[in-house]
Amino acid sequence: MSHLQQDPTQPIEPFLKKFLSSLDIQYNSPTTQFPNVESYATQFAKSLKPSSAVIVNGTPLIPTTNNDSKLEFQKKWLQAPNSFHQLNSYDCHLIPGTGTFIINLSAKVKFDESGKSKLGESADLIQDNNAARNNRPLWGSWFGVNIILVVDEVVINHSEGEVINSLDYRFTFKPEDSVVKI
Amino acid sequence: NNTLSFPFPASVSMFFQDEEIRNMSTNFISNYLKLWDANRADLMILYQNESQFSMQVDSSHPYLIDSNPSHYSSGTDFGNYLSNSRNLTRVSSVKARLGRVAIGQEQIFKSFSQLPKTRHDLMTHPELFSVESYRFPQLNGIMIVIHGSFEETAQPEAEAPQSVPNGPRGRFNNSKNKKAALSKKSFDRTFVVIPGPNGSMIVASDLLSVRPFAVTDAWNVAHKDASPAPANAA
Repeated sequence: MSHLQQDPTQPIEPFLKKFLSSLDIQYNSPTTQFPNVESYATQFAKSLKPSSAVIVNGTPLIPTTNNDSKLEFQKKWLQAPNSFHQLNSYDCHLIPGTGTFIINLSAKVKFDESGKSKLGESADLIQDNNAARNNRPLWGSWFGVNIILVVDEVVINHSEGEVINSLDYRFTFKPEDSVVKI
Repeated sequence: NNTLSFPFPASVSMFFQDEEIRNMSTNFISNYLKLWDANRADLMILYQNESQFSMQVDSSHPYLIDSNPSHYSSGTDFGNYLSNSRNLTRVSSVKARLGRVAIGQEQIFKSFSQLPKTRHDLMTHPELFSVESYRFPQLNGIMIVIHGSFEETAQPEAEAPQSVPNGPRGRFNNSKNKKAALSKKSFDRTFVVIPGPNGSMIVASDLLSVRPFAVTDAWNVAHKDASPAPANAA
């Protein structure tokens, strides 16, 4: 063999970490500023294709006439409490003749249980805007998550592009003390 | 409180893209798990030269710390799995990353034989399982994803390779004669199934992930909400 044997799946790990952390971006953070809500929300799962099949906890996301499935997902995710995902494990196969990888990843996620939305709003009658901006999240217990992705093979060279054909997001463990309703 | 809801429809345990997929995948799953428990050699008809199988362990997946030992006898001994685990966040050597994918019938059967024997209570306790099944257009096939749990019933038929075959071993470190404790485990498994000749099915890709045993509250949400609140006056 004339050249070194390489594992083509090496660049997939940074891609997956970037994908998970895109779900966890905070609107009110000292390090990032967004000019408006739209420019913020469109950061979530940026690597989805507009036509991606998206299934969350057993229910498919149905695109509307105004929103493709990617936008629909981003609009929904904007309503989720702030989150923090951590990649525990992943494995993948390149499927011959398809130009795609199947990725099976196992992760955990915790949510902000302070009662504040991503945009810093709470259901309290008296809103204290300064406090909302400065408050740090009150993280709850870990949920378990299993995620299946079908990703174009080009991900190993262009991890920035829209490469995800399908996203299947499934909670596999719900902590007993969590107040987040699934 | 809206800000404390996960803003997607309440979790449901089963998703099938359409009726055809429902029929195909429920048949596939019930037959597959039956043979997996009974005689894994009988599954080889589903695999071909290019079929791929690998297994990963997520030992740090969250789970309920045993509050009711008699009912939830989970164990966190992954000794039967670790030496073959293809958790790519932990396996860095190129040789191991490539070597831990079984390709073709012979290698796949060998891998299957190195996993503990199991029992899946699919028929008696379907609530332990959750499925998503949808089309995989790139191959004219379907994707079948199963989440659930199983009981380990016996040690593997074949011994897995030692992860460090020539490495030094301390006198307390020799695991050769120590069998891993059998217990319940949970798993996630993804099959890409494509049509074969004469209406048969072929597994192109099989990804198994094994993790500590978890109860099924994550997908039996409605079921749980419907159950009566426990009486406080007991």
